[in-house]
Amino acid sequence: MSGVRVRNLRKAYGAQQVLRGIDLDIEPGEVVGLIGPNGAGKTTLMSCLLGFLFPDEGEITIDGRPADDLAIRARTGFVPERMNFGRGVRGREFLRYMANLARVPDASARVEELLGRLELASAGEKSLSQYSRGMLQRMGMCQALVGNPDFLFLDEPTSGLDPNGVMLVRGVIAEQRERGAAVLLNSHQLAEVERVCDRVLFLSKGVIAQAETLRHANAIPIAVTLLDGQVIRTTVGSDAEIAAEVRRIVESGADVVDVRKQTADLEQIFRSAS
Amino acid sequence: MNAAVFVETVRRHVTHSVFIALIVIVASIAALVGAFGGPPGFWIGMVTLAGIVIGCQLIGPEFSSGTLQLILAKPVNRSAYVVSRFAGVVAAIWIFFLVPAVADIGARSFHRGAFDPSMFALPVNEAFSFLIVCALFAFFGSFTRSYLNVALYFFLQVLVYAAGAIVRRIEMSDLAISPFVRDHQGIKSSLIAITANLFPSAAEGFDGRWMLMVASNAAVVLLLACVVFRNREVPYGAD
Repeated sequence: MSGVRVRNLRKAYGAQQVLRGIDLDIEPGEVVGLIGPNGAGKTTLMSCLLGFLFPDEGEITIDGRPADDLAIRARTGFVPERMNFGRGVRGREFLRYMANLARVPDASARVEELLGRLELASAGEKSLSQYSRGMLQRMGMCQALVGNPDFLFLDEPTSGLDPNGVMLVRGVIAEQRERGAAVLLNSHQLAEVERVCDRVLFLSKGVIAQAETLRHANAIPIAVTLLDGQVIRTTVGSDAEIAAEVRRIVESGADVVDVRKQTADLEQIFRSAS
Repeated sequence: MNAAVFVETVRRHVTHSVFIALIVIVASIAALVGAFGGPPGFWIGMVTLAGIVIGCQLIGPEFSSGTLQLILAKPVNRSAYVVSRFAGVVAAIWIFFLVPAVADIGARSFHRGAFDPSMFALPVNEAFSFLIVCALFAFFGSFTRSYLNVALYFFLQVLVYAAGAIVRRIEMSDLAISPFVRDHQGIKSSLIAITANLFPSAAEGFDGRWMLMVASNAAVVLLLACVVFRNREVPYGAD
């Protein structure tokens, strides 16, 4: 399976050029973060990837096929920023409908599995109008996952979630990565992007202004803060190596007050890139 | 045709409390009036109004609420979506016609002691005319948002009727253009044909040709709706 490929994507609304030649690759088993200021073109890019908008120029292929191919749609999951559906519909009914649309063979079993996984089993018979914002977000995640998608497009999936909900969704995204899904995560929550993404793309004024690798399988950047305020930054290959590195510093006579797995300083990059 | 979209569209309408309450009220009134031999089919106006309210929800409101984007992210062919929504809404409207019709005709038959199948003609024809009404709503909804499809439907209806009235008025007056209009009867007959095709009045008896005309016109309009909707962009949210 090949992933998501975008080449020289351009999109304008009238005279306003929103995307100005985007190149993007998302490999299977990779979580790519998409961040950028409001109006940068993130939602437009997501909409083009989902076949909602038609590019003016450029090419989008997902596993080698066009983005609006129905066979690809069957393998795609999408979480909108705000989940909106007929508010009188019950959660379980809604999810079953989504499962039927996604042509899930054993829809009922899959629905129950997802309601359980996203901790909505007890709310399944409630009307969506009674759902909190966080519950709607989790329901949005359920409907995106209902067809066991190979390609996931998530637009602010943790917005409106409490810390438990955030951890839950973070765990689900990690599971999807483990399963081999290619995930694009559009988010303003930089800390969240830093935690879950392998790479991050900074979109500014319709172009990818900067791309940062946050995580390699065998390279974990860490920052060790000493009592005197000095920060030692290094890269290790595993958690065991983190412990060894801290031991080495302590044995050298320094007092360690903080150890963090650290990636790029997204806030700093966000400010400089936007 | 997408069975899931069709079934969900019908289900959401027929399980809606307002839908059920209105059906019960209209059917009860129809049965009461029928039992006392009141004017037949007087309830059809009420159901027609309800049918327009149901029909106008075909595509536009789903677009504006964001529901459409959730559906189109799934493997749903856009044309199949339009046809299924259309079929689901028409089915819901036909159910709305069926229940009061059965109540009215049942009560009337009981009152007369005899069943006359021709009593079904008016409600059946009115229900059938909703094929073209809903097809027009689908077509206007295929390129507009929210409830603009209703506005366009009524605007077109008023435009066609007004144009017909103006042409007749000009024909009968002594304006400079009047001889031209009188000499070119095609103008008047074209407007009459447009009105009869797009806004057909229900036939009084069962008329196969009238039904075929309504069904074929609806099919053409629905085809246009599918073509337009296939090429429509459906953005969600804002950057």
